[in-house]
Amino acid sequence: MDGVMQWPRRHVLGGMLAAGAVAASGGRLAAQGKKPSGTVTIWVGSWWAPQVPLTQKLWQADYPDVQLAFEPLPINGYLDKFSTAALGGTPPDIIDVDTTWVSTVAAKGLLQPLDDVAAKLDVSDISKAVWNAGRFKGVQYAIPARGGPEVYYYNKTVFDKAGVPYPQAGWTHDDLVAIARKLTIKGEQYGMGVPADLSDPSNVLSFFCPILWYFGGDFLTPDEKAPAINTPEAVKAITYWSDFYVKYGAAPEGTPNFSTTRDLMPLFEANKVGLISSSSNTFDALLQKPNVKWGAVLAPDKINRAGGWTMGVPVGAKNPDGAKLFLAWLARPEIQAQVMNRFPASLKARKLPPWNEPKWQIFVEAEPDARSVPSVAGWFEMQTAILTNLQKVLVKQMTPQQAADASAAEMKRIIADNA
Amino acid sequence: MSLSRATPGRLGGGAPREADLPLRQSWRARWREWGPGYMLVAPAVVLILLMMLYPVLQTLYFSVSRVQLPSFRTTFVGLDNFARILSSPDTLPLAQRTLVWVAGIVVFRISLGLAAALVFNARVPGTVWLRALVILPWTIPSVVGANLWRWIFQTDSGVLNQSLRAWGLESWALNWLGSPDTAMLAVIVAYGWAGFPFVMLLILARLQGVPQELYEAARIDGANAWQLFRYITLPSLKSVLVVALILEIVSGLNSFDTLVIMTGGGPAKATQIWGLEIYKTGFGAFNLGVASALSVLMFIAVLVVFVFYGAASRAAQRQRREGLA
Repeated sequence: MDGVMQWPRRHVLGGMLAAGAVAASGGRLAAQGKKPSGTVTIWVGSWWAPQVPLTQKLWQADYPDVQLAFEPLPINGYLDKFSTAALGGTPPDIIDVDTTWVSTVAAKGLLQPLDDVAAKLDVSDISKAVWNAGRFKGVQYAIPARGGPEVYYYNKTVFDKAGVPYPQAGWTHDDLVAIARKLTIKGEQYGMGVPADLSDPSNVLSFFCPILWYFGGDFLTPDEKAPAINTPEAVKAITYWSDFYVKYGAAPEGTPNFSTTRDLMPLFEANKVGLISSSSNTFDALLQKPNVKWGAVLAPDKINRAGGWTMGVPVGAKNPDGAKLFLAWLARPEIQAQVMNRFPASLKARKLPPWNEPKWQIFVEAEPDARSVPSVAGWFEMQTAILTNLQKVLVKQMTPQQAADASAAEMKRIIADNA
Repeated sequence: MSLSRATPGRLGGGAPREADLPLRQSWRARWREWGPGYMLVAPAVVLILLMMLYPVLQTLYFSVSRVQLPSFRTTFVGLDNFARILSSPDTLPLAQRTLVWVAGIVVFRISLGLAAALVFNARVPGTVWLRALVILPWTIPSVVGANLWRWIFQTDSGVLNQSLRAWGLESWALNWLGSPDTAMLAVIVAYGWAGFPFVMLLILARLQGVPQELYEAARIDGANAWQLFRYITLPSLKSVLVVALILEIVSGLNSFDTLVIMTGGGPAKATQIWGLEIYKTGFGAFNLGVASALSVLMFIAVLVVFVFYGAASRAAQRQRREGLA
């Protein structure tokens, strides 16, 4: 006896095993050449809500025997809801996951390998950065639907009020600081929206990662076996990032508790914030606000984080065959071009209406410069540790060096825990 | 006395002695009286025990294990998880924040609940509708309430700071949720607001049962308003206040959604309390072993509270019986 035993999880995860039985029977059905049927439950971000009727209509035309049940959820706490449901044995059939989450949930065995689906797809048609973010240890665990290069949005009213020219492609990180400072009129408007709230970590990374990479820093060493967040380059990046708030006061007062969607977007729309860094999510949202005068520009020094959303099939999904059928269907360029209301992951879909319109070309231009966060086990815990320490710099509990060292120590432990 | 009569006969296995008969008759009589009742409630009792005991036992087991997902395969690690928690430099601040949170909730809710109950017990004409209005915070879903308060406390464009600035109180417009110095206070106000009507109802119900003759007699003796409160109202409320205190301690320890929505435990962990730490450890870091160990430690704390709750309940019952008598 080595002290290892199997907890009678039948009692704990009866539902999960029952679902597994259903999954197994579904697999047998597929092997027998029978068509999938039943309902496919799909958890997606709230931005999907307007697209659900169209998606269901197009799907029904192709697969009348399988029903799609979409459940759009708010971004705040999204991953928590999924992990709770997955561990409780009641996951959906498909979960739409942010690219930064895939490795964490895949490493814990909560997602099914999708190499069989991937084998049927034209991988060269899919954004490389998002595709790679769906892989963990050489196995495909999620199929991309939404591409996510980051760009900068600027509020023309805020710029005009401060008499500052709009940023142009080719601007630098030095320009960014100078512009943010010039735009700031304390108590009235602020130059840069700096997200720092842990409830929406992806958007915090969207602003922080390009800065880290610009200064030559990174989260992990190239072999991804040790932290690199406390190198001199990374410390410079943390200093640059926090100075917007701590040194220059060029970010809103509530910054340590601000997220992009809940706080910075409303402030941007209210002409209180001049610049925010975000994905096509914000582009679409701003298109719905005709009263806001805005523009978009490539990130300074052209470095940006490859965001995006990918769809996985959780372990315990009740209808995995139907789920895989949907993933393959959604990967078709003509379908993705129609049903997505955010920048699609399919390169061919981007050449179809409405994505071939000039206004979307900025994302096509940003794509080659997009980089992904590490796809390693425990990444979500690592980023929580890093972001918590970054918050401590903002509230002056730590210096950038102390935050970097504390983050590195926690990352080291997390790497050891997941080894 | 009963033991000395019953034990020899039973152990010996022989014929019952004469002295045992009254006791056996007594058991039979008791069984005839209570047996059917026990049998009727037995299935429910067994079910409740299973539902309560199973998760507790599982948590206890996980707390001494390393749990691998998604199979829930466990490896016995002894007290390693507890050692890791207790040796962490974050644990003491976490416990301190939890204590501050619970104390803040209790003080805020009971103070506000008591004040509101005293006002409504005064039976001022036209305040019936106000009573319904005051109960509103209790009826609003916690998610809605938390988002509402997050909006109120928003530093740059929140209602509170905008109002303070408009009134010329610029220095009072603080970084409520963005500063570790004020974030805890802000979430305590929000959570306290949501729950004080319950305390008010508890106290009001008791207040309305206090005989008016006591007040009349005291007034004849020349007691002033403070003395009426100090020597009649407060002693009458003692039992219900103790119950409210214990319920609010438990509520504070279990609170979760308000904190997650308003601050997520930040900034810089300023509002991260024990319950939130359990959740983040279990479902963010997926470390069910350490999360279970944290739960066991909190369970012990709650158990202590419940021991006091049991004593308080018995005291309240006794007081009610004496009151009826």
